[in-house]
Amino acid sequence: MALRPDGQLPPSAEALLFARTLQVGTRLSLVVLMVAFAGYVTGVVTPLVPIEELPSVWGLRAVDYAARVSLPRGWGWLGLLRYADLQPLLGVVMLAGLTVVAYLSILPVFIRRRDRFYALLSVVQVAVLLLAASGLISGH
Amino acid sequence: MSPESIAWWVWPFVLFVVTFALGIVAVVGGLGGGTIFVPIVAGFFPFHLDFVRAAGLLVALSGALAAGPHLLRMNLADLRLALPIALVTSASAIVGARVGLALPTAPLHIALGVIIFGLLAVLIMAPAPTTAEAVPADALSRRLGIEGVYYEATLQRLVEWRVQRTWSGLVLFVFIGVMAGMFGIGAGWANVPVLNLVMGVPLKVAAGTSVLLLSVTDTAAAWVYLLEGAVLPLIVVPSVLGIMLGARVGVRLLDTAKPGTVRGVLVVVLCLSGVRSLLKGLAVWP
Repeated sequence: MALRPDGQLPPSAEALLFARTLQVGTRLSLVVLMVAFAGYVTGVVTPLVPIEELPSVWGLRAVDYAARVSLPRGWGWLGLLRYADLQPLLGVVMLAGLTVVAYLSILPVFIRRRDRFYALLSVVQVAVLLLAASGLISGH
Repeated sequence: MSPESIAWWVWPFVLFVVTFALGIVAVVGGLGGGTIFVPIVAGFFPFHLDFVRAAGLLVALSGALAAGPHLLRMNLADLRLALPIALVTSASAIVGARVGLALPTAPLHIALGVIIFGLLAVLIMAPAPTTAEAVPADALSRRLGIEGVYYEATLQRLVEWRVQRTWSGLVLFVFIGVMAGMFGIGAGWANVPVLNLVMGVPLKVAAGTSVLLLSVTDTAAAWVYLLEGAVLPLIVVPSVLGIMLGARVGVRLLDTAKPGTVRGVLVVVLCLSGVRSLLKGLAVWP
């Protein structure tokens, strides 16, 4: 296999795909996170919990906090996306969803190569991550 | 003065400054930012441990996602090695996150204190990393085709590597995954020794692959925290920004900073965090 000018071996096709997906996705997610956060702290958009009241609730357990501020658990917050303090969660969802996209991007490479074990591994990994994201494990 | 009487913007601002500093010392001291975030923020900030753990996972995740692509392109993170381990750690991390959110806070603080002292022990007493050049591959890793080659700049040549004791490594990664999910601690400090000392992966590939593992493990646990309402943007965003910017400065300071001094400071700060966590858990200094 030919070496690159820097002495390195070229990475595999799946490594390149995985890397590209993570790189583009991370940048996009961080932009969404920052823009939404700017709207939140500048007061441009109204939050569900007034920002000056947060110090009285951020010492509570997450479950008690959710109950106090009427934040639905699971994916219910999507219905409250008009509020500034929930909009940055879209960036968090994008960050957390990236690995699923990255695994799906390399799956065809394993299938084409007839690398059955790694194709199966990728499918099971995606299933595990989607199960966690579905809230079924948490009973939501 | 109680923490609640301080203006709302002071804590996020202080958090940003502290995480910026953590980002610098994490790089120079050779520890992941996510590893030291939870002990320090849980010990010295007024936020509940649930929110700190969720932020810790997202800090470690952002750092891993930012560094992963470069490491993959340099062959310093190996997908064939990472994929089977990531499945084990991510599934375990979900269990850890569920258990962590269900347990009362006091025992969690005590357990966190113990973990911090375990981390300190690894930091102080870890045996010298092995170069792990050409360890004999075991049957499982041979069957899965887990092996690789990377360019070792210090030797100016390509180095081949293989994997031994794969089953033992996978069992240890179950515990690492549970711990990562339960405490929101980036598990790089535990991943690297297992990959290097147990499985015989060269240190650089172990460190790079550990980053890739974090991106999957922390994702799995982060979903659990997010769906429980434990992600507070006012804690997460300044932390992610602070650590990432600090890490960039840290990389530039690598040539001039004295790692020994920085690690000494880290040991003292982690020691204080460990004591603080134990005192919180024992309700001596809540």
